[in-house]
Amino acid sequence: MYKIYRLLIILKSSLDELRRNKLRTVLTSFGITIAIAGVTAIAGIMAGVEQDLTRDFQELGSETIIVKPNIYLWYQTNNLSTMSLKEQLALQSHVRGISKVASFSPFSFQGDGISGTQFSLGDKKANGTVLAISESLANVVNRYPLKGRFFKFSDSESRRRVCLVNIGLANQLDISDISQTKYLQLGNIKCRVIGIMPGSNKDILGTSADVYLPLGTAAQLNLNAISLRFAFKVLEDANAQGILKNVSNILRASQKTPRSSPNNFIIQDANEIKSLSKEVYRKIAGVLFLVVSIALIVGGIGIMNVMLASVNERTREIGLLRAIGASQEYIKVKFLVESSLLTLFGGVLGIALGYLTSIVLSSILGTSGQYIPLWSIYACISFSILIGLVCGLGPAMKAAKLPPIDALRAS
Amino acid sequence: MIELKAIQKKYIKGKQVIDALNNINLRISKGQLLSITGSSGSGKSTLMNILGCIDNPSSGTYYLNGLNISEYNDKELSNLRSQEIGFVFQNFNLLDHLTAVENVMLPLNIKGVSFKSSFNKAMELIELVGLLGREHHTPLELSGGQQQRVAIARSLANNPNIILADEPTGNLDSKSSLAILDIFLKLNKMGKTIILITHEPEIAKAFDRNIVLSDGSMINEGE
Ligand SMILES: Nc1ncnc2c1ncn2[C@@H]1O[C@H](COP(=O)(O)OP(=O)(O)O)[C@@H](O)[C@H]1O
Ligand SMILES: [Mg+2]
Repeated sequence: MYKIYRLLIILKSSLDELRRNKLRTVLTSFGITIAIAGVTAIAGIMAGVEQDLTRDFQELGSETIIVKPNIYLWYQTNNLSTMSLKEQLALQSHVRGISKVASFSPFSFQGDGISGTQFSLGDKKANGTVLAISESLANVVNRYPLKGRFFKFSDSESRRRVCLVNIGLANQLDISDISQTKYLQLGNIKCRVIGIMPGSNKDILGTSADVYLPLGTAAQLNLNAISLRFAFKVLEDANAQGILKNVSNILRASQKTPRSSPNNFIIQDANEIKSLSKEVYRKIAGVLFLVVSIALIVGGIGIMNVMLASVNERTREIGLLRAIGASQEYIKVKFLVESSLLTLFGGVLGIALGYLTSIVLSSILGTSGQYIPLWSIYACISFSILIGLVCGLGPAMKAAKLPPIDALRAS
Repeated sequence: MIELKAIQKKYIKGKQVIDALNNINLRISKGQLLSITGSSGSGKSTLMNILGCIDNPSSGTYYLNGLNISEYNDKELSNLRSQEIGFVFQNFNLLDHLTAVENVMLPLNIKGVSFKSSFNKAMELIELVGLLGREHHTPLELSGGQQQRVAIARSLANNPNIILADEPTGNLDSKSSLAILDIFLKLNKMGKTIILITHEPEIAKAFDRNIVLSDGSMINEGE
């Protein structure tokens, strides 16, 4: 019982001590605050990224396969893949065990497939990406309009000037309500908005955009801008390897790729991309954590320094406490409690700061992630306390070992 | 209750050895009112610190209540200081950031007594030393005499049998000195053993017993 009270009283007097030196407390623990804020922000953003990846891939399903031009080969040989409807037909008719093959292509009015496009409706303007897609894409990537309808074969066939708008852009341009006919100006044409699409406008598979056009319509507008990518599902999971081998052979044959040349296309499956992107993010996070650990060590040294100064400053107080009955252990515990409260304070402040940082950063990066995982809060708090204990140990031992009379005599 | 046998204390500074105490043999019985006098540097404080268990003799044995405490470890000695001994210093040694009552509570805090009972006990003692109404003042808001009263109240917090006072009136004017002396006499009547270092012969005369130190040795004991 006495022990518990003793600890509570030490806690209270240490809190008073920190409160009495508010400015010093804040400045001293600032290093820890910054480091913990870093950890928290990274953890928050990572959690958001993981969440986004998981969601994207849940929508897709792991059996989804994407075939796209081998951009690395293009850089090396300037030989751009020329996958077209011919390859799509070849895949569809010669490969067994796959779903309907959907095709899509990033589209721009400049013809490079990269430049952004200006959108406007009335006096509202925005900038974004356009994707030309076949009507079968919805079923392959499991993404359907929130409102209105998806493209039909006939939209593409008769080059109708219709488009689908991502929810984000729709909100920006104030066209989420499509019960009335609305025309979106994009580039130099106007298209009727026939539906609103869900989800983020960036996904790593490249199957989403701000605005979608039917492939046929886009081809009529700028045929040069069309270089197809394909998306399909593998229906027989057991034979996936064989099926993909088959896809590869058929594409090579259709494009008459010489035997000695590498594939001018890349076949990606969702799981592979998922683990690849996770790994990239993990490596980035690993590097950041390393930087943060250094900050934490520097912060800890700062704490040790200030605690040593505090011991010197309070030598007489220590001597007095010893004279009126405090044991070495009591003095040691007192200084350890003080230093760990200092780092705990820094840590809690850091968690708050890190939370704010992760909100700001995730909105800049466009990831979701406005929450901090619980494990990181626990880890930050226990780590803060641990640093306080480790860095406070030296000063606390020094204080405890001071001979009482010498300490009392100090001026 | 206190018995010192052949106590010696040497300080070694480089090649120089200072004999601060030489072969001190001393018995102090319970309830005694004892003064220690002697010129500056004669070893009074050294003797007091050894009596108060905040310093170790170089040799000799110290019996307290019949127990040889020369072999006690830090924890046992700390306990002893907490239970048996109250210290009063020339320079008061109050903590400036605490109020009077909080200063008096300190020894109880160290022991782990609950806030409520240590507060009540401290208030009793504040009253005993005549400072009721000043309990929430900090030392800087009190006069020297009042600060020394707070220090005396603090020395009594754990209800020790022995009060050690090292020149408690050394920093005070004569009026305050008398008032402080009065408190010690009152405490002695309550049964406390009082051991007090002083420079003033009048004070020494008012006490039961006086020992005189010179160059680390007891040269005379006037009963
Ligand atoms: N820590 C110390 N180191 C060296 N010498 C000391 C120390 N403390 C006291 N002394 C010496 O011991 C002698 C006795 O000192 P002290 O007990 O303080 O005398 P008093 O209290 O009677 O004035 C003095 O000569 C003093 O210089
Ligand atoms: Mg002295």
